Amino acid sequence: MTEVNTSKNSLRRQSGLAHVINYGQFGNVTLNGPSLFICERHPLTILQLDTNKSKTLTDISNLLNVEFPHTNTCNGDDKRRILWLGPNRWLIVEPEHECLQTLINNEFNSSEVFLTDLSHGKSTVRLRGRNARDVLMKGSGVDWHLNSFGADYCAHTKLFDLAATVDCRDIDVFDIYIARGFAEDFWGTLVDAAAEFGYQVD
Amino acid sequence: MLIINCPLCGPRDHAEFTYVGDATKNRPKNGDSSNDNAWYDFVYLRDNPKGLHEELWQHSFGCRCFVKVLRNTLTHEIIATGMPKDNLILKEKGLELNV
Repeated sequence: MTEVNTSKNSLRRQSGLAHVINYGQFGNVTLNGPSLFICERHPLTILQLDTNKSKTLTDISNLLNVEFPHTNTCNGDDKRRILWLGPNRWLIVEPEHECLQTLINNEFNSSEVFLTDLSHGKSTVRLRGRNARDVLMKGSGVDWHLNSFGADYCAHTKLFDLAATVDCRDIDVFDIYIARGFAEDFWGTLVDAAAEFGYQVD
Repeated sequence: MLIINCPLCGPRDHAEFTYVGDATKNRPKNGDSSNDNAWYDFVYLRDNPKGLHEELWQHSFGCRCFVKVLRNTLTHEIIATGMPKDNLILKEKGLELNV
């Protein structure tokens, strides 16, 4: 049985957005209530995995109980999720509860699997609501229409001039992964874009 | 806004891409000094065509793959895209012949 090294978890993750988030309702909120809900997902374990060995991929897939997705898609459930980033490159995301990197490294040869821990380097924002796609349209040229970008699709793109990974969790629910260093700037731009629809920060 | 159709990610804004260079240049096989002229041509000499031109772009804000783009330098129309190994001009001629 794999022994999980929990000592690495002793460092508590600090939110990159905690000092800029104001909770409440803002913008053009109508009597029907806000049409957008924004929150930070924190803390998450975020690992980038690079490998070109299909056998290894299958084994990791069995270990994680999630299949590796194909181009522009993601797989997983509410807990663990794998996003396609590029050829032979994926992002594994889950709410932090164990040292996932150690779990994988203990099982696989380090010359076949390259894992990079991005948990401290990324901030994650969840955007949901009926106008979520309208906000995304303001920031990127990707076709965000439901027919082109439905549930379990993901895009690594330029959103509000920042490199971002967008994961469509459900029809109008999006997880946006952004570099932590730009998270504050991104948050400001996102809430500006959301103001015309009225939004609530949870 | 120009839309470049990344072979992996699909249509994206050209701002996600970085221009890499002329895709018609082939790297000389030998690295020795007897091939200086070929290296000089590969490194420094570029045509400035009016019309169809094969270019390499990198999808740097996306999948980070290199993409070959057939672009009309006169109209900025992007006629075709493909992987770096693809010969887009031949493909386009094939399309024209099929019409």
